[in-house]
Amino acid sequence: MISRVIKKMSNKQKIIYSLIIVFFTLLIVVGIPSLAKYKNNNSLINTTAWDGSIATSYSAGTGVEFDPYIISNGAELAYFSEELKSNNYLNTYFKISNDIKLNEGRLIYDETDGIKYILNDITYYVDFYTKNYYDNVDKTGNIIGTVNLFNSLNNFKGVLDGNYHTINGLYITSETKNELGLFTNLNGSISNLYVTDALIYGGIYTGGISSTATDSTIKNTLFDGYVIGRNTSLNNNLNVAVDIPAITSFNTSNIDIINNNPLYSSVINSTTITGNCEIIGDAIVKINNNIITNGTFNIDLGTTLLDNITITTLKNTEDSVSVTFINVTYNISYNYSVSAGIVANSKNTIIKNTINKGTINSEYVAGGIIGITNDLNTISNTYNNGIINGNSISGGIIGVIEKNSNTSTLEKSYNTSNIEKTNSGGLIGAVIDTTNLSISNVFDDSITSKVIYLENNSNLIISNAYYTNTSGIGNNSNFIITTSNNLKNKDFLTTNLSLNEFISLEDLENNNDNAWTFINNEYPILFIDDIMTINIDSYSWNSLKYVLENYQIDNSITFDIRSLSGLNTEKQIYYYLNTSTVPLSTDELSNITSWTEYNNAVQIGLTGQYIIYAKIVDDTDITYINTDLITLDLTGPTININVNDNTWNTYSNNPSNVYLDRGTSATISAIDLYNEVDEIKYYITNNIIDIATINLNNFISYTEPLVIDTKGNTIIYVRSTDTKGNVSYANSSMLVYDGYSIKNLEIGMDPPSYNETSYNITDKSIVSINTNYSNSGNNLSNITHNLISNILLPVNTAITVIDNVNTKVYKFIIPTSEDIYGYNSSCEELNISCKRLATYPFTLFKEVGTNNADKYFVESDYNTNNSINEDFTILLDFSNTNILDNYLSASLYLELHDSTGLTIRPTLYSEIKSFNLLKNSDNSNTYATLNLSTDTELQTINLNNNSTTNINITSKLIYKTYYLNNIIDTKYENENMGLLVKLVDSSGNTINKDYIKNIRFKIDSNEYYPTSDNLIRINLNNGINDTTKVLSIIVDEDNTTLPSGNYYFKISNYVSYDGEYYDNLGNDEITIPAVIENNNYKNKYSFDVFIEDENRILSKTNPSTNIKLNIIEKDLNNPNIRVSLYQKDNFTAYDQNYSLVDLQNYVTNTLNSSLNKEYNIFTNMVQYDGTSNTYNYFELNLDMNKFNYGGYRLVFDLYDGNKKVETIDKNFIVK
Amino acid sequence: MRLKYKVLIIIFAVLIATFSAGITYSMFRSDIKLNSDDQKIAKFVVNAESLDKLNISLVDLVPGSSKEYNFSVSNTLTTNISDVTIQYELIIKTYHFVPITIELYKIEDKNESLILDCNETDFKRNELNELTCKSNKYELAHTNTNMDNYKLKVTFPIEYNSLEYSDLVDYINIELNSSQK
Repeated sequence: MISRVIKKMSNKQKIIYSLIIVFFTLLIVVGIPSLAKYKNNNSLINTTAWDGSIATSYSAGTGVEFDPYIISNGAELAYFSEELKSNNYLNTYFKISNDIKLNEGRLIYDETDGIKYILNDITYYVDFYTKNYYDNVDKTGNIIGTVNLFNSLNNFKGVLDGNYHTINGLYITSETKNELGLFTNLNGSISNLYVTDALIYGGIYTGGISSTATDSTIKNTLFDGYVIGRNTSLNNNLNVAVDIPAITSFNTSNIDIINNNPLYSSVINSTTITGNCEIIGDAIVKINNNIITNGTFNIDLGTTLLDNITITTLKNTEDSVSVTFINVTYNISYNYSVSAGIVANSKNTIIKNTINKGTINSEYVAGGIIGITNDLNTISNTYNNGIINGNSISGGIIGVIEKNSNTSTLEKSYNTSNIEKTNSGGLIGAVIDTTNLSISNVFDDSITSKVIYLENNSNLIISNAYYTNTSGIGNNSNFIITTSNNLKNKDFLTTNLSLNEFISLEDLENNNDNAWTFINNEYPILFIDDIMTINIDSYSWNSLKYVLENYQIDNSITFDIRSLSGLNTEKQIYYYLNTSTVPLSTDELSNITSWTEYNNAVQIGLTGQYIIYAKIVDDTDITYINTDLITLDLTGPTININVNDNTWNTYSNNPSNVYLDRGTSATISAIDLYNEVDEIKYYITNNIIDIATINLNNFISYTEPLVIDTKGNTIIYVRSTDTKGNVSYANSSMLVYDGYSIKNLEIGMDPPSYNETSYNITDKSIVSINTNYSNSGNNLSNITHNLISNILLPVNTAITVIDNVNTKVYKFIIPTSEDIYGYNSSCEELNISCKRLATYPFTLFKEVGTNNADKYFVESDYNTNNSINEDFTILLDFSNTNILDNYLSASLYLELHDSTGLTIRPTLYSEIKSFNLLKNSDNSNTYATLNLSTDTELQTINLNNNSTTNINITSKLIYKTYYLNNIIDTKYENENMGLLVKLVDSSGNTINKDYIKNIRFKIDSNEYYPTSDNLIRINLNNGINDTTKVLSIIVDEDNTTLPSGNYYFKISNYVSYDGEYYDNLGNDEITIPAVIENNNYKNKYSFDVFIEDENRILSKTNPSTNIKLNIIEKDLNNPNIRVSLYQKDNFTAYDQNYSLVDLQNYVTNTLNSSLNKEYNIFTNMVQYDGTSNTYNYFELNLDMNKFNYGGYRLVFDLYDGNKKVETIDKNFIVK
Repeated sequence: MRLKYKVLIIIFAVLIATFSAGITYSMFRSDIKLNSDDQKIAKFVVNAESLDKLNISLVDLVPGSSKEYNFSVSNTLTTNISDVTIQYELIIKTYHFVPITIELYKIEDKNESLILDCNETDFKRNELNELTCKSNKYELAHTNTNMDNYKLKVTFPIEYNSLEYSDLVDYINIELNSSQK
């Protein structure tokens, strides 16, 4: 039919179905076996404890090999026990399908307190041979409860497969039964079974698995718990019937009874020979030299055991004599018991892959695997690490082998338990009357007194047998001394002891000896052992270690935590990964709260060093185990590329830009935490590259720092490998050697004014820089412009920023002397890590040229055309500062920062210039001075005569110097020099221009005259350059109107913007004497009122204003002057009418009233002599609040007596 | 009695920018440059930052005469300092108590154009009773012209040659109201 179906398929269908079949085949072949290794690994089964009931059937099965009875819980196990009372289940198959918990609590035995039952962390005390427990060690008072007592599985002749499940909490006790064990009188096959937390108390033959086993097989079995043999009232009687043949000849004959003696180490109470003897005739009959007579006899032999019975008959007569023994019995009364972890009394039984971890106590004989045997078969792949306490004799594997003549084997077994009792053998307590015992591939690593305590009348064939305790060789020299380390070394164990490694349960089916697992520095253990291990690859750990070795794992770390066989345990498992290389103590581990519940194998894929901890929680116990230090190195070396303060150690395909302001170098290093760095190579380019496509040949071995001194883009790619071949890449950011350019630092605002090679300025001067930057391919946002200065600019420094691209001007005046600009004043000057740089963000700068007073510099993103074009002029004006210290090597430049404050555009370092800002002080006057001098010999000028006097005048601006270089004082920038000439009288008073109309002043053919302030100003029109001019003073004698006397021409120089009205007047003065010998000066009648110009425009905002009036008069007999005030009627020039108002109402001083709102001001006149000394001085204190905006007129009337002589009007404006 | 026809005019010419606190010295440094014959007149330095440096010029003006005051508004063109575009207007304030005509001319390529005739007919007085005459707005572009030249012409008509016009006082205040564009 299948072939027909195939025929109907298309080729495509055939391919598809074939692939499906191949897939499932692979799944079966590969997947299932690999899963099998972890069978039951996740087996945290919380089995419900047996309630003490007895089931009425098994859960399934018919008892045949392929359909065994299934025992799934305690009740069914109890049912099994019940059924055995009537059925020995010969050739019947059983299988356990679950872990079986027979008691909720845990049973513990100790010598002091007896049997303890720990339930929910409370300790109870179980009365011996009962199931009752109490809350006190004296077991008085009320019974608190009962434990589940299990009846041994007696007389089992079938096959039980434990299916690697556990029978936990087994409690068996009896005061009367001689045999106690999970099984008693076993005659079947037991395999794949854990019996844990068991406690068996009592019995003479007491075994963890079975009390006695005859012709049985026990495989793949572990026992852990307590086997405590009965310790009271042991009294056995051995009554051996002695078959004495009929006496046919009278002599002495021996009847061998040795094999009927009790087993070795029994304590003999008494031995007797009893029976009945019929003696017919005259004969002397002796049994062991004890004469017996006809009838019954009872020969007391004391405590001597007999090897044989000696019958001696003597015939005293020739007559027929007959001697007949009836019911002769060799009677031995003795004490004796045997306990063992697996089988107390083994007969022709195979024990394989079996472990005892329990505590075995016996009054007489104790053995880890077997108590006593006189018919040993094979013990293979076993070990004991439980406590063995036989008061008479103990053996780690076997207590006593006695009277064993069949070929038997003890192989691939070991003991590591230190048996403290006397008469102990690490492997065997005693071998007596035994031949053909082969012992091979065994070891004892304990401080037990001897490997085999007693060899008596035996023949042992020993090979590959090792021991470590030099005092423990016993009588057998065939054991080989070795070390514990060897016995924990896999190579040694597999080579010298032929221990075969466990591969899988499947493999074990066919290769029963492939049962061993080797753990680092631990004794080998059988796969059946329930030791929890952390496993990584071929490594396993099963203890908490504090001295750790280092293991390197090549790929990822995959660890699992399981029992050796990967079989089920009733344990909760947690793990904790610690990256510290220091192992944690138990206390530290107990405080960790971040344990992770373990479910499946865990993979670690990150490079690092780990110690893996496991916490195994059994019912009441917590066990910690850890691995050694596991190193996983999957990554290449850590690369460090260092440029200035920047470090890169990763690869980026989208590197950012880092701007360099000067040439520098790059150093590269690499470290590998767990291996050596094999090589470091670099590739330097100006483009971003994809590391995946780069040709490895481009990389060059790194030997020395890389010089980066070319303006433009540079990016460094680094490839490093470690000695394991792990590769790592890293690259720098794009190193952009670019930034703002600065034209030369300029002094003043009009740099061509100065051609100084050094930059010294006074503390009232101005410096400026022009900085620009242009670049394309940028897209910048959230940027800030920052003015950087290596000095904390003094308070009141006026900073002007002129944006020449956007034609904007901004200004900021330093408002404080406090360090609020990040200058780090407190830094030491030489501390490189603490730079003293003040930062002045452009956003502080207020835009000028706008009516919006709060408009500040606005930062803009460069994201439109991706190009930057900036050109700023920055002026620092120190005019209004008060500098107390010199600022030497001060510099100023621009930086562009990103939103984090990182500099993304520096100013090229090579273009930063510095200047010295020098304070002015009494000790160090730094300000420039005006100097005026003449080389002409000065002669007195006679102002009566026509004359021309030529004087060479030299005007200079002289800078102070600092270390021989000029200190530029820019306050003179764009100024012009001028000469100021005046004529003064002998008292120093300036002569009014009206009196010197006969004098002209001439330079370069231009003539100059006094201006309204009587001063002659001569603009030299030469800027501030040194100037020498010829000043001609030309006198025309006719116009002299001054009185005779001595006069002086005073010549000064000054600078001002226009060269006319001086801003700064020099201190030098040239004095030229003049004289008038004959004058034609005549005093004139006069009356005039002078008012200062500034008093002609008065402001109402000045609440009190004084008008100062200088009044002259002359040649009147009775002069007096009156004043009155008029207000302009209309606001127009075309109506000049004024109205009289009362002056007193507009002034605060009290006036001397006259008539008609006129007020007298002077009556005593001063004779005017042509100088201001003879002015009458008069002052009006105006109350400006009384005035309106508009025009006013003061009218001064000169009276001579009551006659008005003249009127003078003086107009002023109130605004 | 002596007739005095001398008219005292105080030209209190101030270029005050409305942003007086913020004008950079550099930009407005050049301000007024005179081509007038009379070098003594209106040689004031405009410096809005430092009002105390304003100069006052006196002028004697008599009926029948006129005076011209040339000045310019400019940026300083230096090697360091570039220009910005300025928008400005000129404002003349006067009480106009003297019967003078006040005319403001803009000079371009030697051609003069009257841009402002400050008279009582066309302009009003402010709250201070000042006659306030405001020019149109002009722009100083940074790209080309860096200086605008002006002439203020003050004329004292001959017909006011009478005693009542003697010793009059007036002032002319020129303000520059400017801003960066």
